[in-house]
Amino acid sequence: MNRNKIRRTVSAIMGTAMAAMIATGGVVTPAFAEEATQVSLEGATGTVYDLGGLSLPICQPGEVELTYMGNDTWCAGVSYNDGLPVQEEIEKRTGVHIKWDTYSSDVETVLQTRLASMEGLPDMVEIPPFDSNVGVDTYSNNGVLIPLNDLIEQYAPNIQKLFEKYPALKAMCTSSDGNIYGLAGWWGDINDYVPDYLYIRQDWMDNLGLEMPKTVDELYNVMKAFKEQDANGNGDPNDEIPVATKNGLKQLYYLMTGFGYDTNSLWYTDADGGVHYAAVEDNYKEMLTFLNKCYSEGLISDDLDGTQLTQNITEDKVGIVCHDPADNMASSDDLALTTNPNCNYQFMPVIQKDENGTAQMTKRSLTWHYYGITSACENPEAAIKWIDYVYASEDGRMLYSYGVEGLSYEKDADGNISFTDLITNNETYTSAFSALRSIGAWPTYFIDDSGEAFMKIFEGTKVETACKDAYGNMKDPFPEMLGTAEESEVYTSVWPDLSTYLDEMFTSFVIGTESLDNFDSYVETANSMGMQDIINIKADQYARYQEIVAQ
Amino acid sequence: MTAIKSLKKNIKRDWMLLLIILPGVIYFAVFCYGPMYGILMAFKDYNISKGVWGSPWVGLKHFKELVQSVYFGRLVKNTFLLSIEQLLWSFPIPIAFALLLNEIKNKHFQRFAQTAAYLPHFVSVVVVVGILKDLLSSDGGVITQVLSAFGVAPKNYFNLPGAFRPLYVGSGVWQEFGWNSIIYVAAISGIDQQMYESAALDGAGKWQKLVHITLPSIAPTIILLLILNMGNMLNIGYEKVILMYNSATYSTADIFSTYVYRKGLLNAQYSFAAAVGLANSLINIVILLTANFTAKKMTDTSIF
Repeated sequence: MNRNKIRRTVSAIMGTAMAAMIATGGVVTPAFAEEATQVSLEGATGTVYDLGGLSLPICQPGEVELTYMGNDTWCAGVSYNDGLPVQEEIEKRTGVHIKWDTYSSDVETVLQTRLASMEGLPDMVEIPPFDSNVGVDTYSNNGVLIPLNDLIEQYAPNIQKLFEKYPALKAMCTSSDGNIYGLAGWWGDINDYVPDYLYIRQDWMDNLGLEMPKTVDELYNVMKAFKEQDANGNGDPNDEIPVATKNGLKQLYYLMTGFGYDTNSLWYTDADGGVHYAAVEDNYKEMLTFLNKCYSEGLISDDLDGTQLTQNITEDKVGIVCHDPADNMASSDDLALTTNPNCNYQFMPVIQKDENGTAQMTKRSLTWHYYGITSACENPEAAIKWIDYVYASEDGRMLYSYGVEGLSYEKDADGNISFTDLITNNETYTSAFSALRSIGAWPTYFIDDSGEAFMKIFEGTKVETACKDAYGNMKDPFPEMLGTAEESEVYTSVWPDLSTYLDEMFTSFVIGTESLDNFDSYVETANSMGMQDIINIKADQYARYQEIVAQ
Repeated sequence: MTAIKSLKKNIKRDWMLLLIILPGVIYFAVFCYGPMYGILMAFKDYNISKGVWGSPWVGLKHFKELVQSVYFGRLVKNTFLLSIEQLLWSFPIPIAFALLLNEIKNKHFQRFAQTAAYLPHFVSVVVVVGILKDLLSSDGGVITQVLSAFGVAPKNYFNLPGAFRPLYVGSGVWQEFGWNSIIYVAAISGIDQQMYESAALDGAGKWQKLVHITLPSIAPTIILLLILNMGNMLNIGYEKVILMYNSATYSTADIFSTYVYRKGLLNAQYSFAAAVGLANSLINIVILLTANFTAKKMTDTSIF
């Protein structure tokens, strides 16, 4: 029902927009015409645009068809296959027709199986596995992915500019042989703005007369108060859950800043550039002791995989949500407001060891999944041009972040952008993000999220305030570099077992099934399983990263 | 010559039967025998572009890697225990249920009970696990609340290694016992009613009829299904386990298939995954042959 309704709304608006364009004189000019220099190409029909060295259209309409295989939209019930406005607009401007071979569940397994069979390969692919970058190495060695260096040099001026702007992106896309086989989904821009930490019920603290916690001890006192008193004021002092995690207990790592670490990732570098893994160090034991104490006193939710989190937030039970990017604070408010009209989640400052602590929040990981062109692609030139357009060009970025002009946003004479009702007052998709995704903006392919657009979406909200506070006050995360063949070999044989062990022991220490007296033997076991090899690999990769970034 | 002639004659005579068996033969050739060359992957370092034949031989490297893994012992133990516990509960309960159904005299109620019992079979595993988590959640779960009324402190059972197997097997039995009983109900309905009548004349009660007529009549079905079940013993899919386990319960929940999923599939270690799969199948074959041999010796019933 809802879905049909939104479709009807979209098509009604599109219809109106088209009618308006035709009424203004019969000449239909694409919205981006004023920014583009017009060049005429012999034989091409329609208008030809020059975008930072890339000329559009790439081909005659429908002359080139490319297949893309990967995730479908992140908007439930909406698929690229439905012909979404943004993707249709991209096709109109580039001439390239994309056949979407996209999946919304079990994507990784489907991709792995299809790539492994070498049959029916798509032209462009989101490279599995998603939770690490070893796929780029595996599939380039296997000849599934083709090198993109020459293609980028010849046909993709905007990607080149992106690399110049972000040397880190280039570093993370470059394999150890110097070639580029995969383009990383890039969060370098948006991550300057989006803090990813804990948020807390300000109204609960007000009810109990508490201050925003800044140190580990203060945090403990707040948690204790949430637990023991009736923070949500519903008459039951026992239904409050002081801290809950979204995707597993491991997210409590975000509290590491309170234990002498300056980061919320286990990988970190010291002042001399030495690479460390926190989970085998003494400060980590201190953190475990603290978490164990909290857990045994019932201050941390025992819903270890986070399946009950949404429900618990809705039922007005969760005091602190650990960890989530800032935008989810708004959706958590929406959930809890249905039970408690006073609900007010606020972003927490970074927890310090003591009053003199200077630990900083770390930005989210810089890269998302990798994307590549396969050896089955018969027209890599068109593919890289298309990627150049959607991933890096000014015009493609507008479609990416704001959708289609006239449909999802309006631009006034000064170039100020404002979203239309379809985005701000959508009945089906109440968050502006989902509304944009429902028309194909903020896509899942060739990601390069814009911080400015993100701020625009949350203009005037407390999310914007949280982002502004965080801007310029966050550290760069530890870089995830692509491995060499030998590194990947060691990594894939050592890391799965080792990470299982580390996860398991972390959980056991925290929930108390393993005594912290065994911490030393735990470190020994981790080392015997190859911890040092992994640290050495990461150190080599970090050195390579520094080299490329310094160039 | 005569052999060929008689073959031709046979084909001419039985062509209709052969036609009927053809789809089955094609199915097994295409989907079971055809892909078997993929077993070679277990002895090679599979490279996608070189294909199965072109990839370099590495002998038993992947088997060694499996056996040398620190988790090998635990995986074997968990896989066997989960399989055995599952068999112990999920095999006899459908038989008992079918026998009970048979005793219901009201046909409408009997049909209703059967349908109601096999409905959960059609519920997706994701939903079943979701329901289970809701029932057992430490704050507000129905079961937890009932238990706490009896003085049991609320805890999250999904975090207790000891609770994993009972939960896994219990929910599996709930979901499948009705469905699995269908075949026994069918076997029971095939029993000659005259036997019951003459037993009644001889003064046999309900229990005696059950023990001396019903059970022996369906014994071949039970044994066949037992042998087939044993052949599938170690083939526990990873889906339900992955939905149910977390890092607190790895010690009882991590089994071969979840390990292969994490190490082989997610990290694109195809050869390693193939090696584990092959080892798994070999163990299954041994169990199947042993079960079949024992059944043949003891009861004269066997699948071959």
